[in-house]
Amino acid sequence: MPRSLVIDPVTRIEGHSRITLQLDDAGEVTDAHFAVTQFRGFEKLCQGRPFAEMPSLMARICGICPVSHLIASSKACDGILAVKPPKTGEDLRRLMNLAQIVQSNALSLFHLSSPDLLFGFDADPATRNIVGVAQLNPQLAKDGIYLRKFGQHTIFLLGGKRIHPSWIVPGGVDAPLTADKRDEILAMIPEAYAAIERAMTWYIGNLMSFVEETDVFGSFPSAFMAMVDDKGNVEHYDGRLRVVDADRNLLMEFDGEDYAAHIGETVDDRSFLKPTYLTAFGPEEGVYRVGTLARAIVGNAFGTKRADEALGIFRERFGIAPSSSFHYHYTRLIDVLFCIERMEEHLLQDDILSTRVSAKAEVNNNVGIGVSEAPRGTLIHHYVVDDDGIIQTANLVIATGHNAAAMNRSVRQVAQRYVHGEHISEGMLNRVEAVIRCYDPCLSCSTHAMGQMPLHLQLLRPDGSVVDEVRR
Amino acid sequence: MSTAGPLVICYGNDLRGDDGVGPVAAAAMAADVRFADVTVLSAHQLTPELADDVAGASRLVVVDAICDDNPPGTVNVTPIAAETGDSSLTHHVSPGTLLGLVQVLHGSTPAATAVTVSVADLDDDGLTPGVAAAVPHVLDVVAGLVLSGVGVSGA
Repeated sequence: MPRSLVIDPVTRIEGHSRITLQLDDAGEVTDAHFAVTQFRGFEKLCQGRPFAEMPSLMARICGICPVSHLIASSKACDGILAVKPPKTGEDLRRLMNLAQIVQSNALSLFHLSSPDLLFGFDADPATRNIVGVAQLNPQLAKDGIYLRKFGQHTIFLLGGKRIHPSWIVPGGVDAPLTADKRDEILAMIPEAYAAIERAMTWYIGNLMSFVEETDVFGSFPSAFMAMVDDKGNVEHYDGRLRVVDADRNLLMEFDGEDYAAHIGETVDDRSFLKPTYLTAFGPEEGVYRVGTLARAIVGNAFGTKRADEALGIFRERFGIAPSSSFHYHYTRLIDVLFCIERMEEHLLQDDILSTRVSAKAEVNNNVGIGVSEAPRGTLIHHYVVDDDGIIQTANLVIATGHNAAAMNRSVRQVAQRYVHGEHISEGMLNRVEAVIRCYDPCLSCSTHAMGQMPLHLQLLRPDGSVVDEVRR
Repeated sequence: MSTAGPLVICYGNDLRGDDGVGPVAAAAMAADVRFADVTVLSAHQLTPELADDVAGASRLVVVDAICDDNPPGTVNVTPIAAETGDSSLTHHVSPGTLLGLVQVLHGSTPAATAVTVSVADLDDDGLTPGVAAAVPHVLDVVAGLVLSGVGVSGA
């Protein structure tokens, strides 16, 4: 009789979740399900609010990627106003978005995943943590800390707050950049380059330690989606959404405003997270991935010198469309490198200190759709307002929702490889969790993280009684 | 940013009722002349990159809300010990883990104390009356810790 293995909650991701593994009579995994167990309800509470409140309200969705929500929300509001921000206003938005991607990707790789990568997946969890990383590889820990500080301090200099800045507003940004702040950010960039390049060297040097994980951590054919610019290169702020198949053949390319014609959302009775799919292929066949791996596959190039060199090395080693989600880690590093380069480019522009940074207007459209690339992938905010600008409906399509179906497949693949019988080992447990961490899911963005729960995994008999249990 | 003097990190979520007592205390310290030479940070949560700031400080005090059985507004003073094993971290770290990170990366840590305020409600906006009334005492306690180096017992 089929039995279930439940991992509840999953640790070292943002938010709370549960993994359920379905076992057959022989104790082998037949299916897996990743569920988000928190209720959020942001789409509902937006209703009845003035649209101009949306950016600051949406930023409260998450303490890790508030800037992503500010960007997508403000772009949706731009659509309602029917305005395009002045060039400097857009460039300053880009600058803050890039800074946030640096700090968020650094957090994911250095603080959450590097313990696994440094100590191995079977290591004692008492040492497999950020303090253990600092003991074994102090430079790696320092580089992670520096990149986090670089991103966070840039956000602070631009927006006046490190978390939940309200500087990005409908029509542009609230205040121009000053010369002293520009110079302060520029002064941090050389060490940011040094830190990410040291980390990349370390990561590449350790790749051979994870050949097995690379083979089974979400290694399956799927489509990939990311934003591209008019040259088909990686773009994080404004461009068209491109979808390629597992061999990197173009499936479709469309404006973000047309997302609903190409992306469907499903309701999962067991989870508060709504998985998405490509409507042209249906929920089963329309699985796709977003985020750093997708950006590295979908884009023709990054369009900056250092990142393109790094991308060339990556593609030379793994091909133009590697299927393993383990490569989210590698591509996260390239993404950071690219963001630093783009930040430097923007800061060196002559007009970056222009004081014309916002456009003003009244409500001119009843619908606004804003799309951007968040650290974890494509983010869509879709608002409908009445003639007074009061929100009637809001739909938020989050990167973790895009990746939900792929995460389920990844968990199943890993579980089928490592989970056998009725005993739960630490290595087994951690690998099942670690494949989820490859995607760096931000469950706060689909629910809301509050507090912290210990790890709790249960192996249940068909009658629901516990045959094995792990807490940490 | 680094500081050679005392460092106070007040943290919490000001949208979660009494959890915002840290940020409220930080705002009050900004207007209090006793903290003119003290670096006061207001944060949502403790994160690893604060390690550099802590390493450069002569003394560390963190101010946070706490859920316990004490009457709301009780101010608790607890020394912080460096911890080396925190396997269940998410995007934030505990005060002990932060101090452990500083110990490992910089070889030593400043004397560190947690000043926590027992809470009544974490759902509504703003502080409950008992917690709000405790804020001046929080400032007195923290001032005592960072300015004289002598702890002040909690109320």
